[in-house]
Amino acid sequence: MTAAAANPLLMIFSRAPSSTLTRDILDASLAAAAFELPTTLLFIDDGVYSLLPDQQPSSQCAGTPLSDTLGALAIYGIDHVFVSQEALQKRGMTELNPCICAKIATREDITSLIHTHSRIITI
Amino acid sequence: MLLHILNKSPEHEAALSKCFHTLSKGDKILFIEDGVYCALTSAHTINAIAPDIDLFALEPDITARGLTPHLSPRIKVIDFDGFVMLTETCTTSVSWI
Repeated sequence: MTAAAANPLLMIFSRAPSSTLTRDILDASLAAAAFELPTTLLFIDDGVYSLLPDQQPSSQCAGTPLSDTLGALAIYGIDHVFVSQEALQKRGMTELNPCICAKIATREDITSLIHTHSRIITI
Repeated sequence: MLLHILNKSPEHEAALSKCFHTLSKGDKILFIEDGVYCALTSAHTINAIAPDIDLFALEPDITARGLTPHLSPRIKVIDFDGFVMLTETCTTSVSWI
């Protein structure tokens, strides 16, 4: 096992897509994956709003909508994307962006994710 | 008649409770920026607001977040011109942060 594989990275998205920090952690995730660091994304709290389809560009949320960039995750080799079941239920979200293959994570799954990753970055 | 402007999602309970605790009859609430997440059918926050309070949400912020299909029927959607008109019809406006 290489050093990188032994140190998987967990990126926790807990803010709404309009936050510049959300864009920053996504960029960091893509950069890490480009250097072949095993990278897992986890969407909790308001972070789950990033997974809604049909987000449009706007003057306030500059650049391409986050949902478009998220569609490119697989190209960067990011296959492990999890979304909090609790956060989705709380927000009544049933429909996710079909470009993103996010797995539903229970509270136990999230606990397990946090314990199986040696580096965790949260925004 | 006061216009309350809210730009935080329901996750930010402090801003919401400051707004909700100061509402009085005839006031209006406008949801902008991440505040539009309060305007969703699933957001329990607005169910607690008295029916004599008019609720508005800003259209560009709704479409930017892909929320159009999820809005509560109680919400009146307005554009920037509507925003200006609201501030004109209300005696004061207050932004809760």
